[in-house]
Parts: sequence; structure tokens; C-alpha cells
Amino acid sequence: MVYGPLWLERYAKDDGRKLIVYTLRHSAKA
Amino acid sequence: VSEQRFNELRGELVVYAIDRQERTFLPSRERCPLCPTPAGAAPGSETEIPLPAFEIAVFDNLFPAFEAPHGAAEVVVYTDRHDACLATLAPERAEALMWVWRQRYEELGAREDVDYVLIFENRGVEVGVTLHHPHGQIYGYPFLPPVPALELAADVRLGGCAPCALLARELEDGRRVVYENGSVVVHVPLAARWPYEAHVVLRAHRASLLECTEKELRELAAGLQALTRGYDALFARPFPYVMVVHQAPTGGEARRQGHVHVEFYPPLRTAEKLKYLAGSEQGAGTFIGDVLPEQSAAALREAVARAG
Repeated sequence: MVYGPLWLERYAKDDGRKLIVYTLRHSAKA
Repeated sequence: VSEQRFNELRGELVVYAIDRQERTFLPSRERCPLCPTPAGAAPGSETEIPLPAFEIAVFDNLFPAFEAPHGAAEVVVYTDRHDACLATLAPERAEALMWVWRQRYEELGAREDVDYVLIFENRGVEVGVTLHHPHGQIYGYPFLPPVPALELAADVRLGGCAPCALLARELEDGRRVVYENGSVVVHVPLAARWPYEAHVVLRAHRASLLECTEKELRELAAGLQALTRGYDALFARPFPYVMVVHQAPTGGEARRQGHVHVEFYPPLRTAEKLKYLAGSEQGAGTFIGDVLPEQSAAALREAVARAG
């Protein structure tokens, strides 16, 4: 998902808690 | 699971989150839960971020003061570098952090069980930090807490947006202004409670980060970094502080009423001495100051300029 200059990736941890990883789009891997 | 009780004498809620008593406390660097997880790490040894590298990460606090359906508690990790800090992040990373704050405000604020989104950072053991890795936190309160309620009352007292009125006064006076750029002003408040308290205030009236332009977010990050670099230069040591982002409530009648500003409450009054909240502060609610705001502003202004 794109948010402004960021790329968001959402994960669910093993215990169900959310984890969101944000990466600047210009530095994100294709 | 936390429990709320109403303190009648204070007229405020108190939250009990007794599971937090067991939270991770100042682990060694090798056991830092906010560092990335090395490639090939044994199953079960992952940190909170099971990736070998990352830029910024947000996750639900393992020891939450609030949790759905009665609020939220999140951790915001600024970088995968254990020894960094807000002041030393690359400018584009600090700017990215503003966008992360904005996204979390938007998502949490849209929830029915979150009336107020508080983004904050506790830096230094002096203010109770339990993990050294650079990070902040976000609480989604299921009610409007007292401090933002006081700011809304100040709006009523001043007949409009209080931060707008106070910023105009500070700019006209000038003695307590520490730093300025096109979008933000950093100043020590006229009646600061902490010796080196400072506020980073958006020049334009913006109720929340959602209303800020890209330029304003970039310059907000620049203002925060200028101040925190100045803090570290002031006494030539890592400067402890509590940093709190104030924005409009996201629920209730005061939704959308606010003015983005970031308040810093540093506990140091000298390089080695702490300002304690003692009899007058705790028992009477009246802060007794050791340094005039004009003096601390002059010292901070010089430190910010020196730190560059």
C-alpha cells in the first residue's frame, strides 16, 4: 500500500499483533 | 488488560495496566527487541521485527496500556540502527517519520474506540526509558485525557485557537524563540514548567498532521531535529526528554479542534541535576522554576545554532 512517500507492508505476528513496515518508495526494492 | 478507575479528588481517570510490570527492562544490546532479526536466526529468537533490515516499523505493544476494543498502544521504531536517535536520523528518514505519524493518526483516529491519539517519545533513563533503541510510542485513548482537554479550555479562554494566539505573541516578543523555518517555530513558552521546555509549533493553523502539506511535514521534521540536536549540544551529552505531539481529538465533540505542536519536557536543570516533581508540583500543582524561560531560550538558541 502506498501512503505519501511511503510503501507500507502489513504483517501479523505469530501472537496476532500487527506489524507495519514503512519504506521510502524511492528506496524500496522493486 | 487494563482497568480504568475515576479519581474523584483529581477529577481524572487513572489507568492500571498491571501486566506492564513484567515488561522488558533495559536489555543488553544483544537482546534488544527492537533491532532487526539477523538472517538465519534460529526460530523463536526473532526480535519484534523479523526482518534483517528495515527503515521504520510500527507494531502493537507487547505490554499495552490500552488495547482494542478500548484503545491502542503501539511502538514506532525509527530505524534499524540501535545507536541512532531522532537528532541523527537522515533528514529524509525524519521526514518519513512524520508521514508514519500521520498515517497512524489517520488509522487509529478512525476507530470508534479511540478518542485521542497521542504520539510521544521518552528519551533517556531519566524519564523511564526501558529500551535504548530509538523509538517512540502511540497511545490511542478511549477518552479525552486531561492535558488536551486543558488546551481546548485555553481555546475557549482566549476566544480562538490558543496555540495560534500564543505563537503570535512569541513571535512579536522574540526573546523566547529558539529556531524558525518556513513552516515551524520553536520557542520556550512564556510560562514553561520545565527548565528547558520547548514547543515546536506549526505556523499555519493545522488541526492535525492530516492537514499539513508535504513542505510542512518536511519542515516539522527539520524543526524537531534542529531542537534535539541543540538539546544534545547544550550540555554536551545525550539530553533526556519527553516529547509529545499534540493534535485534535479524533472523537467526541472536540473532534478536529486543535493545532499541531510538539512539546518537549526535559527533566535536566543543569548538566547533572534533575528537576524533580516534588511537594509544590505534585501536592499543589504549581511548578517552581529554577531558570527563567528567557534565559533557557537564549542558551538553547545558541546550542541549536552551534549544533547546526
